[in-house]
Amino acid sequence: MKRSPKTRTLRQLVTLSWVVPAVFAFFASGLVFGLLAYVDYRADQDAVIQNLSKSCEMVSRRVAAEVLLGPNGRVSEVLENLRGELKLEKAWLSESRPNCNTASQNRTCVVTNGRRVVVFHQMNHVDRPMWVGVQASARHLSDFFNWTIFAWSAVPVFAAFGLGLYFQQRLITKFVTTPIYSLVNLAESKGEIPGDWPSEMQTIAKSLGDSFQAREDAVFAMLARGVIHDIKTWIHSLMTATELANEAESLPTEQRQARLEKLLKASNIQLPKVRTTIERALESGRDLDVSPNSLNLAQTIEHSLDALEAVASEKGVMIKRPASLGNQQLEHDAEHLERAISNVLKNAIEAASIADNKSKDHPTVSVSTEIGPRNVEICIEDSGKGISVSPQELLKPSRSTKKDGSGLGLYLANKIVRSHRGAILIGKSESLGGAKFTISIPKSSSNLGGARC
Amino acid sequence: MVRSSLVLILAATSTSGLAETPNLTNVKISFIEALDPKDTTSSQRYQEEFERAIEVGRALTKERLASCGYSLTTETSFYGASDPIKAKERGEEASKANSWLIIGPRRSNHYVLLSKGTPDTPTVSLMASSDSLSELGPLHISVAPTNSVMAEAAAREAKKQAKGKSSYVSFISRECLNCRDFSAAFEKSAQAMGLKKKAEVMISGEQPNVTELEEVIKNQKPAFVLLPNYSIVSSYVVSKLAPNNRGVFFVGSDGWGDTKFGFVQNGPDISAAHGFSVRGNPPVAEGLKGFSLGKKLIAAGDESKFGSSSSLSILRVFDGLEASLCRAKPKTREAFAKEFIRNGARDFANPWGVSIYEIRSGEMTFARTSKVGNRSSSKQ
Repeated sequence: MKRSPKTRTLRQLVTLSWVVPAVFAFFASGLVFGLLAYVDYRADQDAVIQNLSKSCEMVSRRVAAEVLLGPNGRVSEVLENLRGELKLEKAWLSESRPNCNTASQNRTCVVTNGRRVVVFHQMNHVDRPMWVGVQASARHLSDFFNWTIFAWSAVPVFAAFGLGLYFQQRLITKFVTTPIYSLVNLAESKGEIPGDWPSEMQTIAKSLGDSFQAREDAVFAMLARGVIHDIKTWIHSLMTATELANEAESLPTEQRQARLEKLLKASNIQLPKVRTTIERALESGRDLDVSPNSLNLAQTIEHSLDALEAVASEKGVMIKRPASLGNQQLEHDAEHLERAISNVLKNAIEAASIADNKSKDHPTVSVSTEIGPRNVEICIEDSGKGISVSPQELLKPSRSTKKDGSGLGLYLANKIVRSHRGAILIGKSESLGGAKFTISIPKSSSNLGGARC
Repeated sequence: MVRSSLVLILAATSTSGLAETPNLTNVKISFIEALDPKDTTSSQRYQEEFERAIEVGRALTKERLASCGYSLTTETSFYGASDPIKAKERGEEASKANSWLIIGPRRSNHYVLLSKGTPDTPTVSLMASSDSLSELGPLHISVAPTNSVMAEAAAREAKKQAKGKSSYVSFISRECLNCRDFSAAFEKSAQAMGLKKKAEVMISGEQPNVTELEEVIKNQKPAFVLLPNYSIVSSYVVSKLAPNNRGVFFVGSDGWGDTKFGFVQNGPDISAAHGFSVRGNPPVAEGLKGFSLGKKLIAAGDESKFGSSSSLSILRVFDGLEASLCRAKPKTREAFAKEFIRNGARDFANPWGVSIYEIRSGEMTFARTSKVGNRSSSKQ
């Protein structure tokens, strides 16, 4: 089972970075302390054995002298005197061989039992085997652990770590986190960078400012391109209508009249849009200002189809209009939704027109609607080649499958539809074989899904 | 001055022409002595005088020994007094090195140990006085009288100075084995003379607590106090007790030292004290008169050049050796050993008896000798 990574604050991470070494240092110090104590303990024990061996040999010689003196010898007194003089715990004479746990060496053997150290020495000069034993105590291993010194030596270590942690926290707050927040604010407001900041922070501040500037320029450029795209679409429609009107001079009067009416209609529809778009771009920047009203959806769709009818004609694409929607009312911003439908429709016309000119079937774009219990769907299908990239990619800005596409049409359309709490679904058209774009708009703000066209 | 005398003696012997006499039998003598800086009698000064006495002894006997067919080779070996077994080891070494005679340590226990390592080599101690020396056999003798002899002389002198009083107390160093021996021997002799020991107190260290001793004297009112201890302890006790007990006199043993060495007159103020101590030797100047080599030295005008009784004993040993060699003329060390067994006790006998040193007005002075008991510490 994979554990989800726990996000820690910078303060926690810094604290850990000090606490872990501090704990390690503490235990490492303890280990070194213990090792030193053990070395001292062994040295002390060796020294005790060495001194005791010398004392034992001395006692052995003195006692041997007393033994040799026979009845005049004072073995017990000499042993007692030497015991006091040499500061021994015990000194005694034995005629039985001691049970040594170390190898006998130079007539001397050592018996250690905890703190107690006993050294035996076989006496020279006497005519029978006799052993002198002396006993002293070595210090216990625990005697070499001076816990007070250890505790006091740990105090400055922890004090150093504590102070280091405290100052680092303060420095990070002062010179990292606070400057970063300030950097963002400064980069946005183009303020001055304080001169007492560290040089790295000054460099970062400058880079961040430049980055914000570049981002702003990019956003501005994107906004401009969106506006230009819209205007370009509408002007294209007007130009097409105008060209058709110009060509109408040689046509019969009725046809010429019809073309002129189309030109007039296009002008009446598109020119106000151009003006409004430019005004909005100047006023509010990039954010969409959607003002939904309960309006006739059929009228909005008709306006979009009418605006691009000339383009479709020019490209030889047949548009299949939807069955009458009657007086279906829908909460929407007609102007924005019309832009969205126009963008999707324009893409569909272009896709159908460039699909396969050798095909027997006439390039076709089909627009249909479906009214569900909770939402309304506007389906735009074409007879083009279909979509080769993923729908998510297609809806991102600057992602176009066309050579001269800006990549903003579908992006803006999706943005407008989402501002209506709707969604654009992209798939394959089963009837025409090309792409299918479904613009789904809820009837009210709480409804989503349900209808299928 | 001493060196100039030595030069004179050596020059005299070398000009005699006898030193070059061929076919002299070389007699090797080993001197073995314990020295310890903590020991009051084993100082650097003592060692120097010890070695000087050997040189003088050699020089004084050289001419006559050469005429008897001998030349002397001496070997001196000192060791730490705190390790008595060394006496035995050094004795063994000297025996293996074919020493004819070993002049052993002053201390009785050291000398006994030496004798254990030299069962076939004659040995002579300069000052050993333990009664147990008599058990070592005829190859081992001491120039000094035994403890029993000195204790008997001390008891006799004490009885005389007590002037009718008969009680005494003993303050004995717990650590001093020889002191206890002397005390026991003194008690035995004193008892036989009608003196009564009222109390015996064992004391410890070089400066024992004298409060208890004061109390004992106050309660027992003795005629004298027996202090058979080394001089450093005895002088301290005497200096503390004498001012408040002027009617009491103090009796010491040979541990008190002589007029030149020791702490009794070179240590704390004992001007309020009176009493006496016994020793195996008289002062050098007096002792030299007791044997022929000493008289020869006096004749040379060098009798005042030696201060220690050990020096006196060394010269006495050379005197006895000269007499023995020239009389018996042994050709081997074994033959010398046989001669030593026969006449050693006589040749190396103590010629002075027990010497009595009096203490008055802070001075320790030789008073007289007392001829008591056997003259040497070896049984014939």
